[in-house]
Amino acid sequence: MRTMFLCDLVVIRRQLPQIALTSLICVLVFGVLTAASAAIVIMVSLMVTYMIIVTLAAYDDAGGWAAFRLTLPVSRRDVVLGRYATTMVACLASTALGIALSAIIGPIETAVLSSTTGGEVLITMGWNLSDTLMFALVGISLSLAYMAVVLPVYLTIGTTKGARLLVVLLFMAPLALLAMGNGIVSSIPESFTTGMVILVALPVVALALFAISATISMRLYARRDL
Amino acid sequence: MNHLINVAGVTKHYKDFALDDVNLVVDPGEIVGLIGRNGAGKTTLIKSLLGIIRTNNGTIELLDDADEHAAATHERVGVVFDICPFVGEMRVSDVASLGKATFATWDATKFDGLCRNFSLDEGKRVKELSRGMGMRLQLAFALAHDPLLLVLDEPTAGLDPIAREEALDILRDFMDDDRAILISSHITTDLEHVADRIVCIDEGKIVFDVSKDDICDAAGVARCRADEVDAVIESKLTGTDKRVLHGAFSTDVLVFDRIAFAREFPDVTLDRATIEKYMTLMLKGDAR
Amino acid sequence: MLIIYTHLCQSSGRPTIDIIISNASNEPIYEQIVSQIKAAILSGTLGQGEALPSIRSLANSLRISVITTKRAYSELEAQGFIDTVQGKGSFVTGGNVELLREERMHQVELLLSQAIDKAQAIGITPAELHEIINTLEENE
Repeated sequence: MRTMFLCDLVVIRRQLPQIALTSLICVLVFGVLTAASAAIVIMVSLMVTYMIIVTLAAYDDAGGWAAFRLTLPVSRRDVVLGRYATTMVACLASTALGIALSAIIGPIETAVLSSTTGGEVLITMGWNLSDTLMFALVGISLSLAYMAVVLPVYLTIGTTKGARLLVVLLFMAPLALLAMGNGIVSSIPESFTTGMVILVALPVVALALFAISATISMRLYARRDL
Repeated sequence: MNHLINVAGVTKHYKDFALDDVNLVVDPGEIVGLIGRNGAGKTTLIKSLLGIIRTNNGTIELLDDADEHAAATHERVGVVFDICPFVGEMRVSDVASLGKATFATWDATKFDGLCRNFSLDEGKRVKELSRGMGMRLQLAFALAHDPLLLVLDEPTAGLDPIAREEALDILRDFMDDDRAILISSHITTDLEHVADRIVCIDEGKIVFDVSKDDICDAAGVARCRADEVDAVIESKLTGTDKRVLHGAFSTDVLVFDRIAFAREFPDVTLDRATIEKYMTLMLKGDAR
Repeated sequence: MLIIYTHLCQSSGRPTIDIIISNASNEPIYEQIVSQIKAAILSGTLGQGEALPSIRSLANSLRISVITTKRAYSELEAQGFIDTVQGKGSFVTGGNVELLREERMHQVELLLSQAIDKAQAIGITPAELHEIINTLEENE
């Protein structure tokens, strides 16, 4: 697992500045529209994690790198677990980046928007640490859950076919949630809907999904011909 | 250690193609050349024995290790493919980092030395490397972790003749009595220069597995006139299964002992066999 | 026509013998090596006890297979011209090779005189005997 993680790191490290820069630009643009500085955390967490993972997946497919990698002293199990480890690290690092960016950008946006004459502020939230950390937890959870769906697809069928499948899955998910949403919400006991409970439940559910996803990926990757 | 590669009864089914009951053994001290038509199964066989492709049947042992999941075996196996597999954005120095992270036996000094010999600049990006440079990078990477076995799939494709000979020199220097090389190639002249044994695969089956000298030194091709053909074919020296290619103005017959044949048929035009000619006759020759 | 040519150098760098392999020759490659090394030994170019290049380095220099050089050395050893020591390499046999050759020649003479005696006993003429020898040699 460590070997694979290091391989991913060597492969991606030159792209990281570019990815960070892209997220910064998105943050600035987003900040023009709203001063929801804490939401920046979630956005950066999701976006940067996904950019790292999709880049790694694209590199896997190009030039036979994934095939060659199997000739190195890494087992197929190592490859999958290593990629999941990379994802976890990417998720935590991108969330940290999000926190940092929101801490810098947030106050600036609020100041800029409130000084603009006639400027409509869509969502106004002052920047504070506890809110930001809460959103960080949400961001990590969403990223992990999102990656739990993405990773098995990329690991099994690659980026080209995978992209199409993912579009279908990720469009269907919100629709499914909307359709079933009411049913799910009403079936949850009252005591479970307090903020603290959700805050604990989200990461736990996300980690569970992530772990299940890893098991599925290992099974599928074991039989894959590269 | 007995065999460095031991492939036994390997079968792999695809929609239109199958590897069928393939056996291949590579022992320490030998260089084995793998030849065959495009689509015959060379790459499929190589990918199977490296664990890149899963087989339907049969056993594969690398370095005496039958555990297909043992990554540790790959510590001592070096691989070179026809296309450089390292990510294009990486630099040569990144490839060095990769090697260091991956192999316990990685020798950074050796890699740097090889890169210097190959004129591989450490700041150069993989995508900027020419085909020959890409192959040399792979070779440097493979050699720097002290492998016992080198597996090369079309390593010299697209290289100029001088670059090819230099690559072969490196392979010769690598060899000793404990090491082995499996090299698949269309460039049969390369194999004539470097191989000890030639294995030919066709439509997923091994067609012949003979020493290179049996082809290039012992065998010959009799170029027969019409009135000579029958006598030549009848001779024991053309084997039990005849290999005959009829041309517009002559007939080629594969001869397995050219020196004896020259004595028996001193008037028949006789050439030494080349791997290419031998393969053509074996794969496309008729029985008479 | 391909001719591969190598000087076998001592460690001091002075060339000692030449070995020329020709693809155009009718002789198998291993026989070409055998006859040239034999000639070098008999002529004294390669001295007693002198080390021959390793099987692999000879193969690499000549750009041929180790199987061929191994066969050549086996043949030379069988004929008594060289000794192979496991782990050390191959050396020209100590003792006068000339004498060795003479001794072997003597053995051949003995065998032939036995054959001649038997032939005379059955009444085979010298001409027929020569005929037999020729036929046997051709089939070798």
